[in-house]
Amino acid sequence: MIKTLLCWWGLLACIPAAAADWEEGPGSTLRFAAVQQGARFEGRFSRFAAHIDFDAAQPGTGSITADIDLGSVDTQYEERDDYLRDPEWFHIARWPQARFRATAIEPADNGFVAHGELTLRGVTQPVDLAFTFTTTATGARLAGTASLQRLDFGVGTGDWADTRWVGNDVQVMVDLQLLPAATP
Amino acid sequence: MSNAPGSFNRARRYLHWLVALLLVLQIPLAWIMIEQRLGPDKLANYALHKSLGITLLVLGLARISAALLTRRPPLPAELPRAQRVAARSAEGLLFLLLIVMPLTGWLMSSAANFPVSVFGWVTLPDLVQPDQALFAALQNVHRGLSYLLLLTAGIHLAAALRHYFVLRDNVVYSMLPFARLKRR
Repeated sequence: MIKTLLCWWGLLACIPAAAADWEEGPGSTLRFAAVQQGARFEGRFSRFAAHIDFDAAQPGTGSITADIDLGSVDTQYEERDDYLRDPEWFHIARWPQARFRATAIEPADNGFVAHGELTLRGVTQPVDLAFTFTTTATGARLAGTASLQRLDFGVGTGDWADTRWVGNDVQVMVDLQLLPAATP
Repeated sequence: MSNAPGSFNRARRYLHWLVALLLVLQIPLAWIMIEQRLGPDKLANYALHKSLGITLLVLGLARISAALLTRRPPLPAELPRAQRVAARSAEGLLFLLLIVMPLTGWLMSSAANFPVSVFGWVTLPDLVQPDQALFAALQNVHRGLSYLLLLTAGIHLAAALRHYFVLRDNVVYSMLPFARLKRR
């Protein structure tokens, strides 16, 4: 806490020293897009926590951890959100959170790629996050996308395993406004 | 385009019956899909309802264009003025509903963040931002207009049957797709 305050008061002095440790600040978004009835729609998760240890000069030493509160799913249609929380989809009564964890980060075209693992609905599968990392006035910005297939994680059981009306491909878009982490 | 004298232009005759057929499918489909348990079948029926609705919008625009570009046969001279006014009003209202019904449906889909795909071929742009309150209001409008459409179409049909069976004039014949005007 004290460290955060010090960083706020003396950003310029603080950032180089604490540049490696970040967490999500206000304005950060975690969105997803999928195809439903042949048309693309977007939703988001309003609650998640990200801890990022990253220095663009040394990407190989970095790591990314994000915990996503699946109950905070918001597709701007309440019935659908309720349904996504049910056992056929996220089953939040049993698996309230998803976790993305990446410890292998390397430079890539136009930025970096984090080779990570996503644990969702009790299933862990490899997922790559392609991202850019830029410093901003208040800290840094991490913007990236990942692609996954919902059925790899058993999201959408029974009749919903049919991908005709709800597609299998899901794109995840993260846009994190990072602040120096309070507890490194 | 060859047109029998006293008949509607051929394009207008075909379009009329095509629209009538699609409406006969559309309304029961709406009743069925609303009552269905949420599942792929329900989504499939909604997708079909939306696709047929946009088809009707296109056909409605085509019908209005054809109505503006071609002359219609006159109503029988002996028809009382009140009935002429009633007939024209009902037809005008049906044309209007043919445009407004799909538009309110499209708006509803946008407001609910369920974008419209036409038979999976093309995804329509969203007309408004997702908004649950707006969706609820539009739902009432769409439902209310569907009752108005049923009522107006019912009057239109009753009048047509009266012309065919009671008055025995050429009014219905002038709109039949393969009509030969045989009476009078």
